[in-house]
Amino acid sequence: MKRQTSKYWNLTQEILDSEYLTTPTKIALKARIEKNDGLCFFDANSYDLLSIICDLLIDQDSENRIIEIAGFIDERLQKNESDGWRYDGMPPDRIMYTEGLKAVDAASEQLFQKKFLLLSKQQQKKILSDIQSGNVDGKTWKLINPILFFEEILAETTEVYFSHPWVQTSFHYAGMGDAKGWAKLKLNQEENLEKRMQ
Amino acid sequence: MQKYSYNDLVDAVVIGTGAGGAPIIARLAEAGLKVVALEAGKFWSPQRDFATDEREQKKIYWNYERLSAGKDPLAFGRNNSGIGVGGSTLAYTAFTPRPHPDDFTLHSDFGVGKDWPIGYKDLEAYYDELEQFLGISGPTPYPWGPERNSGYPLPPNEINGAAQLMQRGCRELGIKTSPAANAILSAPYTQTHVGERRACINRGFCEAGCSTGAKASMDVTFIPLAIHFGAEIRTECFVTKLGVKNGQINRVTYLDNGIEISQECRYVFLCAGAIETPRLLLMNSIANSSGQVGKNFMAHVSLQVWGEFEELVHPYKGIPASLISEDMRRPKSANFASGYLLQSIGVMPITYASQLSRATGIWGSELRNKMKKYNHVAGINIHGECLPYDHNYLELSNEKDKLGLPKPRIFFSHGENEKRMCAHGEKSMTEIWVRAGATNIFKVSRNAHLIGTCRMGNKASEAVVDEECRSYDINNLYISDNSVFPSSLTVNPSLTIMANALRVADIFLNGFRN
Repeated sequence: MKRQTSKYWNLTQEILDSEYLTTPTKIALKARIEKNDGLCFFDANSYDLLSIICDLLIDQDSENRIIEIAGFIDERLQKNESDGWRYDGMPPDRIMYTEGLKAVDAASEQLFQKKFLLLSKQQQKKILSDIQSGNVDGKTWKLINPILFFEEILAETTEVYFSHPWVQTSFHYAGMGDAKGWAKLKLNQEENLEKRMQ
Repeated sequence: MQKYSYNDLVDAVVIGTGAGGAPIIARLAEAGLKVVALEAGKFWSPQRDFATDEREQKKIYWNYERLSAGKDPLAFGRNNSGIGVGGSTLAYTAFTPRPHPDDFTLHSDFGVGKDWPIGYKDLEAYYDELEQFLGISGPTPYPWGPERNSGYPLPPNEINGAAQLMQRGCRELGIKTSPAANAILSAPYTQTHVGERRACINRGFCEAGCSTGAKASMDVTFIPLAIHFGAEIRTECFVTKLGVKNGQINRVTYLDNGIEISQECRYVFLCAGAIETPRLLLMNSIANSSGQVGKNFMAHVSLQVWGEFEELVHPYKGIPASLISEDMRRPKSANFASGYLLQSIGVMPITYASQLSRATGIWGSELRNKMKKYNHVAGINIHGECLPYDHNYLELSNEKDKLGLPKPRIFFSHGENEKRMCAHGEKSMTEIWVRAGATNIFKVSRNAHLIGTCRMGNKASEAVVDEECRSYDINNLYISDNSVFPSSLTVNPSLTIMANALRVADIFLNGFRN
């Protein structure tokens, strides 16, 4: 897969290499940028479908995708890592994702007679909205609660996306640069690093 | 560190090294007892291991899966559960207000919930001791509650932007505020037998692990003290069985790298928290003649209100909860029992993004635009009493986790009291935030802490442990953690968990010596 880089690549690299970050922070954030794309858990079709869904959830341009959100989810499911809980009545995460993605395609075929990846962006957003509100066919979604499925996939997409250093730089977040701590805690005060991020 | 043999009959095995266990390990070791502590997680070296990155820091949260049920299902993991030497204090915000005397008489005062079999007077000396030992930073005199024997050893931590906004809003409404008491050093501090700890540098990542030692988590306070006095801390040991012989526990069995090891002991202190403590007892079918193990589960009402401000806030900096008001502890206008604290809140970016998405359901460009305002965001939350109910409890499910042990299932739903408190709190907080200048206000429904599942009481038919926190059924088993609380208190629990742990240890030692 061709990797795009963010227009924030330079500034991010500069900050990650600077003395503003502690060693463990540098290691964690650099590893995140360098992470290889997924495909250990999902098959190619499911991976593509998940990627497009994640892009829509966070309004990322799929043609020029910068953050491979599905790759991080794929890795987590491959390692079977948990965040310590799930809603009772929802199946374990691996099943939630694999069955949930099938149900998304089923919903797409029901409404538009095409698989999700072949729909227009408008149509895709309509399917996702319906799933979020539970306005879906009960039989297709028997195993997975659609409202909770949407909430879970949105929460994970959000967490993966906003933990990426390029994204953090894009919304002027400087919190990782705390090796010397912070001194300007009051309203409208700015640290040197925060000014640099503007 | 001292190393005991598995075949030694040690005096005490302490299960868990958090706020309930660590003070006991230290106290018993200081008294010369042979103590082995068993911790499920690792012994981190914060400066080397802790990154300023929420995703990397997932390693300090309990990630064995729990099943969350009920009408208001709780999030676990980073929401309320830590793992590692220090337990959940690795991730706590170190907000340490004292309860008031009437926190212990909920039933006498309001006719609901339960009274404690002990009172503020039984814990007061320990609050004094803890504030001095841990180095709690706070305002002296403290603006609320009864007079104290001693003031805080350190002045309050510097307040941040969110705190200024709460001050502004509260001032207009005549609500009294004050810098809060936090177990976070506002100046370098030396503890006997532990050494010097640095002052806080305002990273604001308390809930993702303090890398400097300024936050008083157990791993940099009571645990080094315990080790100094000869306690042994065994890490990555998951306790699975409590062996009973002649009505007493004679051995504790745990998994170490997949192998079962048993340690013989004379006494057991179970301090694994309000989920794992009852879970272990239920798995072993012991100490439950009352039927109360796993019951009476509570979680503080912790509703948050967020807003966007014209000013730059940079909400990730400074003590997350640097301002407090206790004016709503027993509000006169209340149509509910008990009450709540008000706290200003800062927030780390991924926690904010995640809570935002779960609470509001916004996605796509709307979500992205909202996150662009992150540097202008500030929050305020209530921290309120939760009553015990029959419908809130823990049970063992039929699903096995990756260790082959039954996953716990926790049922949680707000009762009428909590719903009314949330409505009252939301109204107060929204008013405060509007006066402070907030726009785009939204709320996040939340509950904090895990409480009550092995409660203290005076009657063996209604409680799991007596007022000394000794099991009614097994006389060499003690429980010391948030599970023993018969009522939730209005305040954050950690200081009281530690104070109670010291009390339990001292009473035990008194009996042990005689």
